Amino acid sequence: MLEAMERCPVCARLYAIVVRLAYSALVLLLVAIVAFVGLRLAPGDVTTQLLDPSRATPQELAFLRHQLGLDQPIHIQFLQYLAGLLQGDLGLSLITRETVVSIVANAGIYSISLAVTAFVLIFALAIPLGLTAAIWRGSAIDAAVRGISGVMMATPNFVLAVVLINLLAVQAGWLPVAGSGSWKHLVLPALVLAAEPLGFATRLVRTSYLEQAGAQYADAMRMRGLSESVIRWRHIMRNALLPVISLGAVQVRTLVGYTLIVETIFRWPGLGKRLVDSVLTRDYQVAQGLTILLAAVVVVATLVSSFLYRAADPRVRDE
Amino acid sequence: MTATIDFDAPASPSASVAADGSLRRIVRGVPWPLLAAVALFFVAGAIGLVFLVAPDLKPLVFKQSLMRAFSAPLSRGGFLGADQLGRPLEWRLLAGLGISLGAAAAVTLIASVLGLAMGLLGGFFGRTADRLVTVVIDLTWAYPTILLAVVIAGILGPGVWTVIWALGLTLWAALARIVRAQVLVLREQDFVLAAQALGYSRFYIATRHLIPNLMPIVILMATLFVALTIIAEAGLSFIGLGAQSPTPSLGKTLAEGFSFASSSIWPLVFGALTMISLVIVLNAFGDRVRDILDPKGRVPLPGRRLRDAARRAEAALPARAVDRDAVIAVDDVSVAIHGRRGATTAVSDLSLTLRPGQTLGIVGESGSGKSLSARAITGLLPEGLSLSGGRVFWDGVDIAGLPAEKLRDRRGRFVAMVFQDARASLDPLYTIGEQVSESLAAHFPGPRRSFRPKVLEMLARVGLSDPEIFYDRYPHQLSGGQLQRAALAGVLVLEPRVLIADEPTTGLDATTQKKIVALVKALQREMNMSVIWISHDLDLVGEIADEIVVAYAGQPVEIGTVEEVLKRPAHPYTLGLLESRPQATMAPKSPLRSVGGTVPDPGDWPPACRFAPRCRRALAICGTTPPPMELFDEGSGRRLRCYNPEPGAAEAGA
Amino acid sequence: MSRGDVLLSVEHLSKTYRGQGGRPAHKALDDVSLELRASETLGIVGESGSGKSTLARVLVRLTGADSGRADYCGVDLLRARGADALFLTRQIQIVFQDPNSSMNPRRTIRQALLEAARVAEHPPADIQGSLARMMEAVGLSREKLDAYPHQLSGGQRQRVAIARALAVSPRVVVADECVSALDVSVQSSILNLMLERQRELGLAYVFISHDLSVVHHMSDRMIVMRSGRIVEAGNPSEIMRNPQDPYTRELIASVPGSGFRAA
Repeated sequence: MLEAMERCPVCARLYAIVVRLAYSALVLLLVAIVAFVGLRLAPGDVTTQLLDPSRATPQELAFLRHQLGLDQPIHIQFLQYLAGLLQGDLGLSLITRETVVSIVANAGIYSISLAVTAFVLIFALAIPLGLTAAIWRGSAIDAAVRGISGVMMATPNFVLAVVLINLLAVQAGWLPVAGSGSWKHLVLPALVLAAEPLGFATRLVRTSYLEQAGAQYADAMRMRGLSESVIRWRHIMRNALLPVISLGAVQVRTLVGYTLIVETIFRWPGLGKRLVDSVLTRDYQVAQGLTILLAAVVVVATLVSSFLYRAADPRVRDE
Repeated sequence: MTATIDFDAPASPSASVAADGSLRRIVRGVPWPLLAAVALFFVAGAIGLVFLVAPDLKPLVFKQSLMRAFSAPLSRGGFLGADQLGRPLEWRLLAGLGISLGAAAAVTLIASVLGLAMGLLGGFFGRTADRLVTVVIDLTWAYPTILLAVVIAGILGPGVWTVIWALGLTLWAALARIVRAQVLVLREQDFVLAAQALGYSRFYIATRHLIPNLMPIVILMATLFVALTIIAEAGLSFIGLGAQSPTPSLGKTLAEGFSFASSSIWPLVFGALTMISLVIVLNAFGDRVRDILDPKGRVPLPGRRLRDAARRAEAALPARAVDRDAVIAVDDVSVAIHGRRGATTAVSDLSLTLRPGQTLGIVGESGSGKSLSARAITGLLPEGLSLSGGRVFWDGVDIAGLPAEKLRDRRGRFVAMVFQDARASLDPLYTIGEQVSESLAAHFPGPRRSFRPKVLEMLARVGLSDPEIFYDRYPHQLSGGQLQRAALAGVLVLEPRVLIADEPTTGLDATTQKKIVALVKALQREMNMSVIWISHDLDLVGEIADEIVVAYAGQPVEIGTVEEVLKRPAHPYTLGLLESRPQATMAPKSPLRSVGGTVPDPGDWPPACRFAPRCRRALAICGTTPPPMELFDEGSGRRLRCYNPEPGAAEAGA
Repeated sequence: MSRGDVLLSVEHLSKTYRGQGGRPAHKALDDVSLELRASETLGIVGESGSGKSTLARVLVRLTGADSGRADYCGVDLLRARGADALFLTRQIQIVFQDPNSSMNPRRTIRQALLEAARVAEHPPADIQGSLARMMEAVGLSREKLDAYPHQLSGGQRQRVAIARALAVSPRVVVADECVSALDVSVQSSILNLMLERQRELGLAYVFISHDLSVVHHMSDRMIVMRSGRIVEAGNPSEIMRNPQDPYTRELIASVPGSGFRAA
């Protein structure tokens, strides 16, 4: 098979893509196993949630355990869970009786709108600001951008939340404090969520541009008489923005983590808040399902980012 | 939270590794107020922890006296006031600080040790280990830190230890990835191979050789971990998953302050102040540490434009008659490097002329300034360098007087340059054809596509047979020799009057070298170009050039025809270079003549003759008065910078 | 063993690097056979991809071979373990090309040499004296022992690399492009040092370089390699005067300067 691939570079590339997909699937499987096993390490199990152990008889507990399938060996339990997953059954909330799937459907929209808003904010601002700061290096604009992004990177999001809520909601009354219901409720959470990643992304874009601006190919092009604007926009820019593609995946991961906190603070009814709530109430099926889902989002984002990078950088295609 | 770790940043193999231990460098490099601030926080935290643990002092932290709830700062003897349960705010914050910093230290320790070990395992102990480590890293990466913290909180219950485990178990992966990449580079270094050749085990090499060289990156990441933990712990405590009552925590104080803000803002204000100042100090410290340990090529003050510097120098120079027939004339040029501590001269006293159709060779070793001289001739110096004296004339016109746009236009059409590293001269994201077309598009009207026939013709002329195929290839798909041909195509397609080739064949195989040299010679004849060829190889230049400039320590020391310089060298350095090469006439394995000593760096040049300390023929005057460049042979125009030239150099019968 | 006896005997050595991720397999060594005698220099000249560096690594057991034999004084080089491996370590050493990475930048010269001296089992009582003597033997003052690599010039670092290789008192030193990265004026002094050490200690060298004129000058016998195979072997001057293989002829013709043109 290796010889066949020597002769056909396209086949080699397809093979690499397939391998990458299979690898991601493996990671997803491991993610599910870890979540599954991990949550089962919790002392006690859900039976203690449903039936008060001090009053229920051992037979009742055993019966319930059997009903829920908890007396099976763990790998059987996992396989059953996996089978359920593939059929679209993510389990049941033992507190509210909703299916996890419906939870995802309802809360998912909120999380997606929040995360996407933040994501767009981040890249729509970081790229122009970072580039401007780099191109006008040493100027007042550069100093301002660097200073502000530094502050944004340094401010923990919950502190920012506290400050903004106090200023804009409590004092000025322009925006609601928390909850959901209108676009106004989205503003503060999105700002808080985006702030620190935005600071980081801006700095990254700036540094990346400066690295490329000093590259030898830029000088070689000047030697041939290419104009600065061609060199800048056709060459330096493209090379400088390559790392931003990888950054996209990193930011997805960051955002997934931060939404947990931000949604809780602002009582934004998204997946993050549901997850935190489920952990606090030991509603472990929901916790498990949401954990796997969120981790899967990160894995998929990494996968997409790696494919985008392949498309953008010819060097990677032939590795 | 501070800097989410940039996972995909490639390790910089060129990260400078000074011999001093990293810690020593940090202590010396960070400004002392910053060091003091960091130390202050840690001491305060330690004090806080002491109060937390010591039994007699516990009430200070835990006293719950509602009588004193929400007292204002400085009232009733309290310093910062009291929180909603009457606990003195200052002790509460100190203890919280202690908990935060303690957690940060624990996490940093766990993550650093684990990250270092896993990175080493993957990078140095075989492919199976590597695959395993990679899978585990990717698996860990799938769980955002906060997510894992929440999940572990679900398992172990909320608390500070939960946060510590959660963070430790996720952060190590970032370090492991970077360590692994760095190890892959390190293990190809000769000193590692040498230790292996001496029979030392992999474990020994990992601990004695690899780890010390990995410390900068570990410390760098540790600074990030500390800041991250502080914030993560505070954030989780804020939403109830971190420190649980009665354990204090900065996050909890902030949360409580927030909920009770309507009753008293002091807990909120002081809590926020503590938090923010801690983070700012840690970040500033981390930035400084990163700068010290991994300076990413700090670019010095932007080099002044050629024009301005030259105008200033012009006023000082008397107008000198310059050969107007010359295609290029360089008059007493010097180039300076602008560093932190002022300007250092890298090239001085450079004067030469290039006639139409002539090939001039500039020969020198490292530190001779030959590359910078070439760049000065093109009027394009790297950032941080500038022309500190002299003038450069293109076709009789002083380029310092040309407006930038005119200069740009002339560049490429009049003079063009190819570099030693052809791969670095091309943009990796565009095909060869696209880039060669760009040269034409920069000077002639029309869409890039319209230049395709000319480009194909040029690619064929430089020896890239099957130009159609090469047109669509990317730089990474070409070999070193092919890349240099492509670079030549990109430059020669403009049919420049002058080609400057800076070591274009260094690093290429001898057989490839010969072909490139032949190619340049042929194209030179066809296009009636002048060529300046720069090299460290006297023999090579002897094959190509008509006239040779020998450069030593930033200065030309001998200028003459190839015949004169190679057959009858006058300068002792030239003779030394020639004699260092093994000759066919020598008996095999006989000792070679050598030039003792080393080339001095810019800034360390001897005051008078720069070669004097190494010269066999040095006289007293060579150490006191700099030798001027003088005419050595009236007839041929040969010039020499030496008080005591080699005998036998003069023309017999001159 | 007396001068001239065969120390190293290599027969039909082959090594192939497996292709990875779509890249074809690469035959680094293809049926290489050679002999090295005591106190003589065997020169190996080749361009990039010729396999000369792979051969160097196989000889010091940094990498293995797929097929063939290599014997040193009766010991199987390719399969040596334990006491045999230690014996070979003390008999065959290597000097590398890159003066920038030949030393651990975080350790002093003294520490680097100590590491080598320990393998040689120099008497611990006089170990410092041993180190000083090692430095002097390569023309460096003993004060430099406490310097860090970045404080030494490229030429000086290569001298230390030679001292390190000689610390175990080997009989064979493999020199893999060990002067190629140095300035010309420094190269000759290192080569002279190597010649002098050879005379004094009766060393045998495997001298590897892409520079034909240097290899010709340093060797008693010469081998030309291309794409993993030996294309020509014999007396250096003979080869230069009368090359048999077309590649060798091309190589000779590529050497700049007229010094080496066939008479």
